[in-house]
Amino acid sequence: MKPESLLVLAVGVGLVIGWTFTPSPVLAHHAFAAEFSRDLPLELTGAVTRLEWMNPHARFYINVEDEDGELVEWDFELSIPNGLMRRGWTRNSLKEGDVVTVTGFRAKNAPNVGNASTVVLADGTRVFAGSSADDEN
Amino acid sequence: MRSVAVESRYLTHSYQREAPEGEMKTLLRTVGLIAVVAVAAPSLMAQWPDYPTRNVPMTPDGEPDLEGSVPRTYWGTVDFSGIWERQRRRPQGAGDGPGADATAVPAAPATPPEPAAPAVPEDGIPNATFFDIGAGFENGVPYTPWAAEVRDQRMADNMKDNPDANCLPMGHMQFHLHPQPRRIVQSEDIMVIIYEGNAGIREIFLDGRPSPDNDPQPWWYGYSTGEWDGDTLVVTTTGFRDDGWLDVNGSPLTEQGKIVERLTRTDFGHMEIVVTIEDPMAYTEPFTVKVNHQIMLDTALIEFICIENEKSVRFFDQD
Repeated sequence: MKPESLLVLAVGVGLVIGWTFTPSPVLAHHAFAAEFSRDLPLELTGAVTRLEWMNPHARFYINVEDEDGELVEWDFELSIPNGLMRRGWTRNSLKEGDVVTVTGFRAKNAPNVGNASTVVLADGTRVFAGSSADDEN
Repeated sequence: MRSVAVESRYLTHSYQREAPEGEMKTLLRTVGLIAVVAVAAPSLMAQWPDYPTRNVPMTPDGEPDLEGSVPRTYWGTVDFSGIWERQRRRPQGAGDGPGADATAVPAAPATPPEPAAPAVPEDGIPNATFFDIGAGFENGVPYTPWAAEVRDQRMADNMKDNPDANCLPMGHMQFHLHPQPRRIVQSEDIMVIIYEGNAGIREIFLDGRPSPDNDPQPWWYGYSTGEWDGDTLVVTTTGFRDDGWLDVNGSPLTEQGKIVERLTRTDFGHMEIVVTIEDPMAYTEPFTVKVNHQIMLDTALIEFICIENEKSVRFFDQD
């Protein structure tokens, strides 16, 4: 196989893999931009205080240490529980006390509220991610 | 064996028929199936039990034959009964579930993915998308100046007034294209569509009654009557509210709107819905789009009570 062909093949395979595993930000019930800003990305780590496995969006809360060393509770929105359940996630997939690192986007008009794009446990296990990719295609 | 086949279908949504081509392929397929079921087992244990759909045509390989013949009712019409989802551009796979490799997941992109324009199908009828009913048209749909302004304003408001974003009925086109599934229940005199999204319920009368002409109260769902054109069910709906949204971007539908949907079950596993929108207030001429659905087997709708924990609206930007 020619090197050019190999390159094309590699790029193609890479695109397919990347496309398949790239999660889209969770839509705020199809009005994402009314609530969150893609100009305000975040990455926070904290311990889970509770999970609300309810409609229209599952939500979870984590305690995050602020600049003054105080614990502040953050409220994160996920996709709809039904979609998450169809992918195998349940109300027991995240437990109180689990330490997670969350990437996502901040709310425009509310402090300590975010939209979770990826949620990763301390041991590297991913939970809930890829949760709303299908909403956008 | 049935349960194994069911689990593998449920996980992969891969309904393609495979012809046997020798022992090695059979062996590989078997090993692959075992691997899929083994990986899926923990997550599937978390679901309620899947209950097999009855009367599914099967291939010689024991897989559902989605290209099998169209089922019919005992009174002779095409039977649309079943759970349907909009046709996906990519399969929903195990990579989204428990056990996926976190390191393979990059952070979310800072800019939203640009939804690709749907390919124009062979019959020339553009496919609508959930976000843009005119995505398949070179120049979009033919808005009147009033409608173009309404849509622009709705987009400028970040779609905060989209009924779907407020747990309200989202209209026929958003219901057709919503990612959550819907169940069709059919009798000789009525078809009922139960939409999981926002728990929508739609009645389509098949008993020959005309559309009401006594200035009826406008409804979110309008008033739908259907008649058969061969094996195609032609559904006409009028009586809409004045503030409809045909897509997430806010293409309007008004009280002057009339929607004609032509439902054709092309084979066991697929349904085409060809929709013609006529609304002189919002569009300078009628236009027609298509939606493709595929059957979902061995599953059920999941209760969705939108308002039970709705917390997004209070954070919406009201500027």
